[in-house]
Amino acid sequence: MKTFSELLKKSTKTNAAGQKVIELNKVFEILESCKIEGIALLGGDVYTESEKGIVMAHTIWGNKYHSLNWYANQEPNETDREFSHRSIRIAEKAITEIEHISSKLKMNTYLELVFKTTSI
Amino acid sequence: MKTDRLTLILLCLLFCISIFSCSKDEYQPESIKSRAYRTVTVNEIPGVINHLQASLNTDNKEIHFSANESDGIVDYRVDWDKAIEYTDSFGNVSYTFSIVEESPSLYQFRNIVIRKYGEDSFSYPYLYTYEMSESFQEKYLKTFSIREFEGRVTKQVLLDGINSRKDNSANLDTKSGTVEPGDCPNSTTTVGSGNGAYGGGSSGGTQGPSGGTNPITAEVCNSYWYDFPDEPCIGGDGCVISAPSIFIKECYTVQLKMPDSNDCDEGETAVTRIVTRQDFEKFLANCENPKECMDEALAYFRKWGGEEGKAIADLIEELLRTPGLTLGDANQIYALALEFAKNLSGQYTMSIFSVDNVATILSFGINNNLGAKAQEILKSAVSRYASITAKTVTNAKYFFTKGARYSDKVIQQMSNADDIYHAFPQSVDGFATIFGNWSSRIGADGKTYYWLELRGSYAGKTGIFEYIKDAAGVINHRFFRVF
Repeated sequence: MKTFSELLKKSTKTNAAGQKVIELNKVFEILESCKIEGIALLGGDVYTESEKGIVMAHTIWGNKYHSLNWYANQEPNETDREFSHRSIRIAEKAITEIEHISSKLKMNTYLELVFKTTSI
Repeated sequence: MKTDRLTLILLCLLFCISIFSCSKDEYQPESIKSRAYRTVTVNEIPGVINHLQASLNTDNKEIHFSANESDGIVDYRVDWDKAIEYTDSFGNVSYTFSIVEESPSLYQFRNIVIRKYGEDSFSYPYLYTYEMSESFQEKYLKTFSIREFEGRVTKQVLLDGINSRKDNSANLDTKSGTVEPGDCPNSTTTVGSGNGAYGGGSSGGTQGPSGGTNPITAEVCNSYWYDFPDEPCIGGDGCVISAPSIFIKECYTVQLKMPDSNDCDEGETAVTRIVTRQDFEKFLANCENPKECMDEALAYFRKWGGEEGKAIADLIEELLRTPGLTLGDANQIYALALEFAKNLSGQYTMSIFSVDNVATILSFGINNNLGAKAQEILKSAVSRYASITAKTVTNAKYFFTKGARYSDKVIQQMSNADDIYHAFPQSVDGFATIFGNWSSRIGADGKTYYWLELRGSYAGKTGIFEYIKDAAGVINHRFFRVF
């Protein structure tokens, strides 16, 4: 099994604006590696393909879809390990909804994942 | 004793005289010039008359000319007895002549205006047609005064054309231009056309045929706010209009100047001189005269700046109409225009100069020398222009209060220097609070979210600074959305 950093390197694309994004179908594999390595996810933004390249999804799908972007803030008494587990659960739930909308709209979807230590 | 008293009185008198004579030597600031009107006769302004006659291709002091109006050719005569010399607060001089028509309309009148650029240098004559609005017609019938004029103003360039060469009349065809190469085969030739409409403007020009050996033509539209007092009109009762500004849009069909053009091109509009972005950047690098730089910048905004550029040009022109503006203020505003222009032409890559971000420029100290009055009008103008596309404007200042905070995700994105659209300067937050538009919208999850949006430019791109806050007060979206 590949490590978290190996997976990131392999799966990441950079759009014209400099944001590093991952194809939706590769995201769950990365979440698994986060679980193993105890990496916390602060949230994510949804991107999609357009004539201008890969852009924020709500600019193409409609403003209401900004709510697909999610976040997880660490609580004051929460350990890093606990936060990692909780943040990944939040991410899995959010990404499941994103998959649903994405297939309904039949759009290619990407995610910008923001990890606690580094943004990809 | 009597002698002593006399001496005392004389000393007092001398003292008073010295005081009053000193007061004459007090510094009189020359920066604030007052506007001045003066009625002039033909003999007092021979240079203007010669220029007008040359423009209309006649040596007759009784100038008649005709215009191809939509309802046929109309004959006009210049009324030399009603000319006004006007000097504005910047010292610019213009001359306004009244026009006598064969079949005058009660609710419409015309003037010819010529601007003086130098000792023997003048603009083309412009024909202004003033058509009263229906509401103003009612007022006019009661007062027969054209003060606070409301209505439609059409401005046309008055040039000699084919007709004028034959019968001393100027070609004022408003729909299509006919160009005769004449003595300057490569020269820029403009055939005036255009309409200005109160409160909105309308496009008037159409593509004219090309002439001579230079086939490159383009339609150039120029819109601006026209301030009546700068060029007073002369109405039925001879009064000077002191009406508010009127929005004018004028369009020209131009033949673009080639690099080897000769002196025949002189006197054309700014837009024909700057035909490309590269030309403009070269001009910016070399221009020294602040007023000249600004004029070119405004022409550039209007031609290349889209809606934003036009708004900037309007803003700058509004600032320049500030009552009581000093020359020092004007120079600061010229500098402001130049800063905008440099941003628009891409010379700044990490700045946020835009019509929405004038406050940023002020904070950089460019306009710290603006007078109090000019600062006041600047703030007022910026507030209005900042909301130029806003439909829902609410009080944005509450967006960042009442427990609002960034999510850790956003904070991390803001710190990533590689992602400039998430990591734009935090100073923008303050401007968004002041000038942004706040609205509430329902997300795809059915929950309410609060949006704060501020139009602006950043990193050479135009777009919207977006902030989205959820019901808990967490701002999980802070992004510069490029158009």
